[in-house]
Amino acid sequence: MRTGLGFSPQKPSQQYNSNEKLFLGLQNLETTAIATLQTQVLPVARQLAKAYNLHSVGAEDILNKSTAIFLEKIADGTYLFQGHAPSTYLIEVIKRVALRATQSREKFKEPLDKHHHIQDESWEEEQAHQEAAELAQRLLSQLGDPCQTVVRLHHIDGYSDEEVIQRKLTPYSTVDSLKMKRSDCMKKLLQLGQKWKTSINI
Amino acid sequence: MEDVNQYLKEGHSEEEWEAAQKIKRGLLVLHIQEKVKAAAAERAALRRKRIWRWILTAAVLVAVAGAALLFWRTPPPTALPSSTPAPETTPPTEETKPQLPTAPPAGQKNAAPPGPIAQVRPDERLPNPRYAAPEAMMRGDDTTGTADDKQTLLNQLWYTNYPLDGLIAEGVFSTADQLLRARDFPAAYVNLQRLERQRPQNDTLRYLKAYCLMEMGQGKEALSYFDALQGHLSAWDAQLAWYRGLSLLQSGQKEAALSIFKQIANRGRSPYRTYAAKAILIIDN
Repeated sequence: MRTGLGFSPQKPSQQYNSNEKLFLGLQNLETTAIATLQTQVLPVARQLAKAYNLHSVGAEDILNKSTAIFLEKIADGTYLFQGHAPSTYLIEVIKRVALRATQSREKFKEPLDKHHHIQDESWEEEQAHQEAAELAQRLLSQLGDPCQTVVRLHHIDGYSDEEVIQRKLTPYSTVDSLKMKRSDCMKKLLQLGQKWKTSINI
Repeated sequence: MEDVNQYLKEGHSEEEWEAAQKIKRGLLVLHIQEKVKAAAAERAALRRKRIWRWILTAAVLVAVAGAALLFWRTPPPTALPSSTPAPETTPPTEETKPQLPTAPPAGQKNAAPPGPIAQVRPDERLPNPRYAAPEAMMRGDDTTGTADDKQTLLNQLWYTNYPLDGLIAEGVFSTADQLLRARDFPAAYVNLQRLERQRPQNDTLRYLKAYCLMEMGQGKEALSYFDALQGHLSAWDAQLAWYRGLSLLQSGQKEAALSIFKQIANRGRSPYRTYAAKAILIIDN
């Protein structure tokens, strides 16, 4: 896992001192921007976890899950920056995630319709995202190594080709050979995806 | 990050396109989840760093506070200057217990035998004196407190030591020296009396006799010798002042003793200033 520790000369709070800068950081999936947003929201997440009696789930888990949902919304353009603090939206997502967690335990009686601002489609969308992630994970496992590693390093872990070569994370010693291998692997992955699609359509 | 769609074949079908979009979406979600994990790890690392910083700061503050407390609360440890080996830590045995005069001089009260040495206050760091003070003749201007109180006070402050600072007892004084080392004060007194008849003006003799008298509880008599010796030899001054204070206490002149103790305590270099500080504290209370 890659972290931004040691690469940021400024303190996170200084680096993202405006809502816009923070949003841009989140849009680029900068680790420090995500950490800054989470630090801003963590006290609220703790309060909500306590209020919803979610000690077993934990504020950290709720926060991480909500952050992932929020970042997906930024990535697919559902959330557009309009000058507001990104933390405001994240808090709303946290409330919804916490509510779902309590409902799944059947310990919380408040009906969902009290939260009018939460659209039902968002839940289905999140489910679809989760299913896609599980599918990608499953297909990668079917690919096996070295394809699984080559694709994962680039598309999931976010390493650049130069970094992969420099750190000797794969058996490939040049950027070109790595790219060539990844191209083959991606084609195989799509073929596997097509097989899966055909199988569910039968 | 490269686009997954670039790996689609030319003239791909609708199904192929949908499958590619699903994989693309799945890889993005996994990438985001990894990024969130990385951010959580970064926050955890920062939190650990902050906690360590707090711990270190707290440790430094505690150390500084402790050092400051030690500096202000504890007088610098000054052992009584002595050429004898370090005092034993076990309580005195029957043989080493102070030898009190067998026949108290005329006029001395028949006070009860000295009780146990009073405990040093908890905030004091000085050890208790090695020996209990001899039964003192409480004469003079001090009329407060009982004989037991005064004996307790002396017991708490009886920091005496032999050989005397800056004094070498050789030749004719060797017998007295041996007796004083053995704390056989009555025998030493008899020996010193004999010598005094031969050399009455000898300072060494006077100092030895003054110390012997003090250890026999004869504060007033000891004081006359100590007073006569004052200022004769700078090497003796510090110890002489302390013994004068003890002799004054023995003879019941508490105020005069307190005045001497204050002088000693104010003398920055006196090795007896810690004892003097303790004396002031006890007397003032």
